[in-house]
Amino acid sequence: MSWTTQLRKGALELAILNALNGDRLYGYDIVRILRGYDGLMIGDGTVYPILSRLKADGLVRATIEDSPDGPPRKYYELTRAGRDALVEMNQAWESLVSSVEELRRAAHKAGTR
Amino acid sequence: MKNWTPDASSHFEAWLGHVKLSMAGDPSLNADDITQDLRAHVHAELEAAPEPVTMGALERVLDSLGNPTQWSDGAKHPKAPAPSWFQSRVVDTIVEWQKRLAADGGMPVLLVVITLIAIPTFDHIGFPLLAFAYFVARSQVVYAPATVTGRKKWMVYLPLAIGSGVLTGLVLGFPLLLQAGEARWFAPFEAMWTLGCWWVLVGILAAREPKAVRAALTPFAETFDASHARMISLIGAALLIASSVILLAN
Repeated sequence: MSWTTQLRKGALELAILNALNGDRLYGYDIVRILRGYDGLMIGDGTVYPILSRLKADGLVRATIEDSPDGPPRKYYELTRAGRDALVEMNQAWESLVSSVEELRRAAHKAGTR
Repeated sequence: MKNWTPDASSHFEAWLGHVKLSMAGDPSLNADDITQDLRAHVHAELEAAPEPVTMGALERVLDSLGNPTQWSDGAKHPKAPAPSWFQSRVVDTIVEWQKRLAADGGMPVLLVVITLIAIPTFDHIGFPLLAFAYFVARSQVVYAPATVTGRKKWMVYLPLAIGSGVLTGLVLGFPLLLQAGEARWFAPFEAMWTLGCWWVLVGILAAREPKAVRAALTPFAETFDASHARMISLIGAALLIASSVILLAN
């Protein structure tokens, strides 16, 4: 597995939780939202095992509703624990990104000296 | 709910079974939950597809979902063979170019112009021009189908229709083309006999790989399946028998 694929897989969980922040969406809605952001998706199907795991971890809850156009749809929303985890994860992400950026800038400066 | 062709329907159920199997290795995943989501996803994605939903339309959606064995680190991973030189250099490069061309909007006006130049100059520069227009149009239909609408659809479909027609003609008439450079041309019933043998073979191969036929002639062969391939073989067999009888009688 390439480095970028691994990176995307790691970031996807955070992206899904952010997509669900304040919203109640079914799986396909989440996929459509994520498709709008370059470089996030590997294959559309990757989202569903992550949703299953988030549900098992109690970070999201799902309710099934009938659909007039097809099979029943499972709507996901964040639980209290999910919202708390999201705050922590976003902070960790920001700190990670800024640290890597800082390191890159420092290395660039050292290289140009 | 939309109607599906029987082969598309059974293929989808088999694919969901494959997903369940590949998730069985990961205790943190609920395979029933995942397949329920996937069912809703596939139906939603096919909402705009023409009825009945064909294998071709279904396969495009399943391709966009990716390989289930790679969705989860805990899923059962058959040991992936290392990509061959041909796959990594040739196939991946072609796909990369197709994606770039699709992202550029497929240059629909240019496609029409190239196609219109290619038709009268087919014997000279027309063939490579048409092949290029076909390649770009196909990229657009395969990698950016949502953008192929309205007037643009007909601009993109023109080279595709001509290219698919030429491709079909080349494949079905292959034995006769081989004879084109020969001093002695087939007598009519010899030609019929040769075509009969060839179509039996083409039908058998197409019945084994209907997906390849649908992909090659996309979007005009969405409903092509093994029964159509068998029809080609049957017509070939009929030609073969009729021409054999006539040749033996003479």
